[in-house]
Amino acid sequence: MSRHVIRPVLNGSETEVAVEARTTLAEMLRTELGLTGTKVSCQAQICGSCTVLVDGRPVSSCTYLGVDTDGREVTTIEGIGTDDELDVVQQAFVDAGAIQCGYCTPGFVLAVKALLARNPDPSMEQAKHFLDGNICRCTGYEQILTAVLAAARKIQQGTNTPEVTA
Amino acid sequence: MTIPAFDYQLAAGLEEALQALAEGATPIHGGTELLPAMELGLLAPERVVSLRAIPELRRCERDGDLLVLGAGLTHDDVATSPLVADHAPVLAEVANDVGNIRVRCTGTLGGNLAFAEPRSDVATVLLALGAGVRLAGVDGEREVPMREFVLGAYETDLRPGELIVAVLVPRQPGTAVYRKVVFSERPVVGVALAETGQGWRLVIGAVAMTPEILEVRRLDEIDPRAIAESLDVLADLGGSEEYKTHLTAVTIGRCVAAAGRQDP
Repeated sequence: MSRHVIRPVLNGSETEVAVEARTTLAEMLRTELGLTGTKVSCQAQICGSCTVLVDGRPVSSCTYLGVDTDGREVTTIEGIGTDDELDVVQQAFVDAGAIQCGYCTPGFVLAVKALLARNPDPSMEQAKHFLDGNICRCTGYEQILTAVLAAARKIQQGTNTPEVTA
Repeated sequence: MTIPAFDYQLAAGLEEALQALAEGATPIHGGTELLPAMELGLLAPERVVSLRAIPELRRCERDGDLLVLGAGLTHDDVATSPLVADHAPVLAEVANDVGNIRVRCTGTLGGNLAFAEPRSDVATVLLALGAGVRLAGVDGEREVPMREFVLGAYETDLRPGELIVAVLVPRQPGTAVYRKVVFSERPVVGVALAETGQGWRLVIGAVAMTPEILEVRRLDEIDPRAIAESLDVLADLGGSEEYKTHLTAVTIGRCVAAAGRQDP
């Protein structure tokens, strides 16, 4: 019934979009804004494939109202890396073979971004705990966890290595 | 699955929210319980009022011996709060293991308790700690102990137009532990055991329609098997009655062992 014009900051850009109150964030992204990198699967907050970040926190976009992102920062997989250069987390997934069918991957990458923003040096147990609500039916998780720890190391090295000057 | 159409209002303050509730609106905060129920067609409110912009629902402060937790705090807020970790560490620990990280980052304390899903980890541990809830409506506020607030599965003492505004948590007086068996987002059985000053309070959640609360003087009075067999255990997707009764006995036993290890 009610329809709202909202202004989220979507992947760093101020965006205006009109949504019905009942439109989920996943529907808003995929249908209204054409951002189909967000994948919907269980629609019950269990699988994690639709994970996006709202103000840096992971949410299930299938079970979140689009209207509730008014004035907030929304990050989707389209906001991670560029066409020319993958984000360190994406590259770590490629390097570790952490992607097979790929359907869960956008959700995993965003969850890992949220994990590393909060805890830049997670233990294996901490990584497992943070990611235990993201389901992958292909890889068996080993490669994904390898990728997470590798991405963390790479980010640490990047910040800890002094710049070489001539 | 599509959510039925409704009118949405973002309340700027508590007064506006309570007025909307008095007029029959349904409150939403994280939506982790309400939206799935709407997607399944179990609920179809015509008017929904969002509580997410109300600062006082996000309070987290001491008031004498009580910790006052705003009902709009997410499980993740509770899990990461230094104040909660100091005041009632078992609550922080339980909050850190609710559902999954997305549920913890969106689902709120108040939403969890108002929905009164029998498999709530949070309700079980709050019962063990002797916590209460503060309810508000257009006509004023009242406080209700958790054990009187939970009336049944999905049934609470909330009256029409009332909202949980805060959860009141006494300081954890000594040892308190929570153990659960979980295969998916919600526990098959969740057991909390807390020192009370006079003895121990044992709360068994998730297996029956309502949590079972038992008071004992000493840990060795607890007979896990006899207690599990005395409960009205419900068979569901988590397992048969026999299986869940067994898990309940084992989980009570684990709580007693863990409490015995922590208690000097």
